[in-house]
Amino acid sequence: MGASGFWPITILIAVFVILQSTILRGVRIFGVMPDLAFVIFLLTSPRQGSFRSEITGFSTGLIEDFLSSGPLGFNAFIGAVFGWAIGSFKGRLFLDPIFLPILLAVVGTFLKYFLSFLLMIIFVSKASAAAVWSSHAWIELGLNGFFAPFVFALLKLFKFVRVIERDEDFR
Amino acid sequence: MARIHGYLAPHRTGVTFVCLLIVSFLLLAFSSGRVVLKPKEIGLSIFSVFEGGFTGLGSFLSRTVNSVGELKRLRVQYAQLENQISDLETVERDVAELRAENQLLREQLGFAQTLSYTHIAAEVIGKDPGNLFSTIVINKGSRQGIAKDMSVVAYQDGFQGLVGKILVVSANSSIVLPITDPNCYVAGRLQSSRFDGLVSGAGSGAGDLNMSFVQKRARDLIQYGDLVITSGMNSIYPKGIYIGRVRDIAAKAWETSLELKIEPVIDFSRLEYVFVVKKPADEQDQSAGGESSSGPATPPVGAGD
Repeated sequence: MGASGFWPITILIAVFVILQSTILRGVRIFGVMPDLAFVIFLLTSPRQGSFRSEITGFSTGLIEDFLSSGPLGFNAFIGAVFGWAIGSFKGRLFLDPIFLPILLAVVGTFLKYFLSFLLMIIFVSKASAAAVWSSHAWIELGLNGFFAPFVFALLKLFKFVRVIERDEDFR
Repeated sequence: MARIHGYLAPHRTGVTFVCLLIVSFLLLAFSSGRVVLKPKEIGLSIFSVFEGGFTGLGSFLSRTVNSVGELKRLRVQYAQLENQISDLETVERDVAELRAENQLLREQLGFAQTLSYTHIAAEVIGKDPGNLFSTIVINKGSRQGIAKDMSVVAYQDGFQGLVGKILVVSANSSIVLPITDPNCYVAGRLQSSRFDGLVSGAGSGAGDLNMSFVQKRARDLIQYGDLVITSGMNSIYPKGIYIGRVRDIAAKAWETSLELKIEPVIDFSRLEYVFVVKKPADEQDQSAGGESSSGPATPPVGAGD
């Protein structure tokens, strides 16, 4: 996948961010909505690389910030950090259809909450930071992990991700 | 120039990453530090248009799916009059939907007429895309007379309940900070025993509220299910609006006050219409001296709607 993958993935994640604020709000399990936009971002980042992923994460995070009561830059910061970090595994992280997507979603969601916790202490309030580790966080962690293989399968259909051969040429 | 480009080209990932982090930090500092620049309002204006569109699309898809199911049933029962019955059923469905909507709007209108405050009716068009913050986006903004810190109420199951306050205003949409958010503080009062306390979001994920600083001698006078209303004291919220019902009472021996768990009277998951309330001028003057909410009190502007 060349540069053409960048825009479709960024637009897809942006669309999911807006869907999650409207139509998908009704899809709640135990009162929590799975963060599918974040799962898509996590699964596509190892293939996109740091440069593209940090821009995708920043821009889609900014859209999320516009629609949220959180401070502007909150999700953009998280997106840029995750894009850079997970994108740096390009050529070294080989996704299988089930286990690694689940692991990536679970660990990624946990780290997202941890980073949110730190940012909330600095930029929001200690009350909000304390509320980060509510039952919602753990349910979202489980839901993101559960949906990750299905999202991976769908992304694979559209060639946004695929199981990479080790001898493939990575640019 | 060539040297700079020669340095940047191999380090573009790192340079971009650092630039994005700096921009994020600046945005965070601007938005949390209340600097005059308002990029959030600009962004909200743009993306709330998409939210409105997706909400409309969702309703359209939902109606379409319903009508497909209905048509299938009619084909089996009335094969010869399939088209005619299909049309009639569609009309009937629309009428039923309109009746239900009419009933809901009449109910809301009845409530609107009983409100003693000047208010602006608005529709909920979106909620927070994530689970970390609790946000409600409504389809009215500064052009319709809405200003920051105005209180928001709704009518549900016979109660006028407090929803929250206006946090961000753009031209045609606004973000509401609901009372279930840990950063939203409301001066509350137990309706029956008249004891005061401070209500805030519990942040438990269940949408509960905490009422703290309730005097300990109130313990024997408080019952489960007692209603909590806004006290109107030093608050941007009008007096006498229902907040919730007492669900649990914690009276620890070593603490000087009671902590109550409150269940909101408003079910936020099925919130469709809200009313943004403008307080009368005399109450604005009274509340200008102090503020129980997280932000500074901004007097509501503009005349009645």
